[in-house]
Amino acid sequence: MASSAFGQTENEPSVIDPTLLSRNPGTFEDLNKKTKDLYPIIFEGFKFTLNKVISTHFQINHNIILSSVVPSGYKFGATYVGVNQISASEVYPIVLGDMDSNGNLNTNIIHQFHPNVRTRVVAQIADGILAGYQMTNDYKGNDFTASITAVNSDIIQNSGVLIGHYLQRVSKNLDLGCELLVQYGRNVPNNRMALYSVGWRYFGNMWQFSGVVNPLGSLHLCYYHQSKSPLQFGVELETNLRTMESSSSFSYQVDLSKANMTFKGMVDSNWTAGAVLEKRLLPLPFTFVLSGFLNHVKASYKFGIGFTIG
Amino acid sequence: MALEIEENIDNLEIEDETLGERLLGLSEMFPETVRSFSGSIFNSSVSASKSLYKWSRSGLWIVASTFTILILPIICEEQRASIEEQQAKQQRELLLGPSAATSSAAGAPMPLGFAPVK
Repeated sequence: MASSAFGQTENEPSVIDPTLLSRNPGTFEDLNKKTKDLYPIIFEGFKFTLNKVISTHFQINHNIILSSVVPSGYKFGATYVGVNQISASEVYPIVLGDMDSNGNLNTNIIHQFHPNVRTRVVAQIADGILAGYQMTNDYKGNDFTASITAVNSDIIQNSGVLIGHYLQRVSKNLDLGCELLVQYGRNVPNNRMALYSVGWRYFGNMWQFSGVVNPLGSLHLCYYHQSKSPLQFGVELETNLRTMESSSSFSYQVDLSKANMTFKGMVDSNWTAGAVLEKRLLPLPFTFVLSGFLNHVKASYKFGIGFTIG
Repeated sequence: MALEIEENIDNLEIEDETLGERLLGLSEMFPETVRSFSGSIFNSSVSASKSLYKWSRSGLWIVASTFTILILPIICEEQRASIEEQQAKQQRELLLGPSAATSSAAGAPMPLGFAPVK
């Protein structure tokens, strides 16, 4: 072979995460994000997407899903991006929505009221009624992030869930944070129930070790590593020390930019393996996606094809 | 003649033991522990080789199918990309010429705007 297995031999200085450069640690929900992003999005059936850009502020997409596992149909989605440009990549407000042929709607509205304050509202309408809604407010300080989330808050019945997060950059290698979840309402035992978790992220230049621990015994550990340029891999372990169940997975991502290809693969402790291959067919703006999933225990193998235009 | 028949009858009655019976009798030479120990070793090695065969069958299937899904596409795409790169490099060399000797020998005039690559 003319070139080595992974092509590039020179060491490229790579900056993995902008939040590691600034002193702000990001939000508590994004603690395990780097590892979770390596996990392939496996699907079954045929997925066709057509993206149309109508103007610099407005885009729509048409999606057709044909599958025997997931309910198939047509989905229409729209994205509106506002006029408040904070930096090159962040423009606010952002309004996203998609609706399928049965009238089920999912929307997302993100707005930045102040350079440090960001609000996000998520709503879901299913079968003609408002099935779920959630409002999140993040305050990004100098080296900390605090956020409050209200989920399904019902003023009439006085029920809902309130979640508070706080994440602080303690030293240049360590972020510590906590989460408090309060559920209140008539259906809840004793009218109120609270739960807390503690999270951390210990990181270096090329790696991150993060985790979230719960007094109910649930433990979630993630390790992310970026090795020689096209390969990133991550290991994830989820354990419940009360029910004594645990599962772990190893996932990796290979970016072959000269072949315009991204490949994500994973192996699981439940004897399953899955992979997604995404290839850009230049010069036309086409993306071709292949997904495969092997479950060796049940001997069931599922595959998916996707094609995106635009 | 009668004596021979008697001898034959006697010989038939004191018939030689078959080979199996002789070997079975020979095993009584060994003590009970040796016999049972060697019997159990034999049985366990038979069952171990059977289960090894079964496990290696499913293990080979799992490893081969998982390798095909997880590693093979990367190798194929990487090889395709490197071959395309080599072809593009060859095309560029044909067009621009890697050295003065080959270009002057070919005799083709250099297109305007392209400096000869030295």
